[in-house]
Amino acid sequence: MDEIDDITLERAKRGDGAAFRRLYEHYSSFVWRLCYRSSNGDAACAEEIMQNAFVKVHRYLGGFLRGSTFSTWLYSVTYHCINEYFAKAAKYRLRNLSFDDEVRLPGTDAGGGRVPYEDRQLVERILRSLSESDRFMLVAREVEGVPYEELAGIMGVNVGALRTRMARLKADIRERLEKQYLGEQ
Amino acid sequence: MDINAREKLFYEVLGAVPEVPAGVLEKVERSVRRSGVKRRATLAACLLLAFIIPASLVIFNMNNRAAYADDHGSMDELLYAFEFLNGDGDKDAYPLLDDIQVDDSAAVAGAAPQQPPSEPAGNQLTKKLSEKGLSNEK
Repeated sequence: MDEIDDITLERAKRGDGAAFRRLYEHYSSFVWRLCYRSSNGDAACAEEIMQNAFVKVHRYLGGFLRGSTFSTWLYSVTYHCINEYFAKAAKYRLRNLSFDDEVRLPGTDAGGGRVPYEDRQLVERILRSLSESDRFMLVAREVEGVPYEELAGIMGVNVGALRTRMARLKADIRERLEKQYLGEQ
Repeated sequence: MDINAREKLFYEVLGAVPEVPAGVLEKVERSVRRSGVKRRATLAACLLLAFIIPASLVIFNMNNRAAYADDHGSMDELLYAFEFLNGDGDKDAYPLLDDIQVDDSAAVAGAAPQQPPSEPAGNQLTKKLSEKGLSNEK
């Protein structure tokens, strides 16, 4: 992910509203992807998490010390907002949706509907059965390409443990896809 | 579609999400403005309490002391009066004692005074104190 230029970041840190808006435009799509997938496709929930994340960014941006890249810090803030939100589990009514329950897909995908509906539904079903942090990890690593070392720092886990967890998760996903595939055969 | 293609598709769909909804930035800015106002109001209220309460106590205390002094004479004057009766203190420092005549010429010259004072200084002072409503008589 491309980092925003230093000048805009410095101005945003000093409270420049226009610079903060540019910051938001630059990073909003990737924060949205994380929030959307972590909230299991619930757009209202994802929007609330994203709003909380950017409010925190605005409040604590002045204290950002450049110990890491800005995107890493933003990931960290987003991750904590996601965890905070789902700690209040009662708000999330789809949390206990089981694998076989019918799933309503939220609108069309970015590919303009090229992906067959059944395949999208299968993917959504698999994702819904995962925990929020597994979904976060999957999106951050497989979609955004965040290095394992950075991701481990964001999630507060050991790099080795993260790699093992990711390997198990991908194996589990593959197994489910295979079962579905063999079922269709 | 084979399993590998399906897996690849899985990760494609993973990254394919709807567009970022409109209006989030405005909500963020509104929320930031609201929390800023609330924080400033709380800080102002705390500062006000931190200064007003001690200031009120000081003013209240000063008012009480002034009211007491008006009614009963200054506490300092009272204290000095008792010191004077005991033979200590500087007469010139306190106006209460201005019109009390003290004949200390005998003490300076070392001889007995020619004329005794019309009234002992202690009696003059006691009279002045009783005029103000204070007396050390039992």
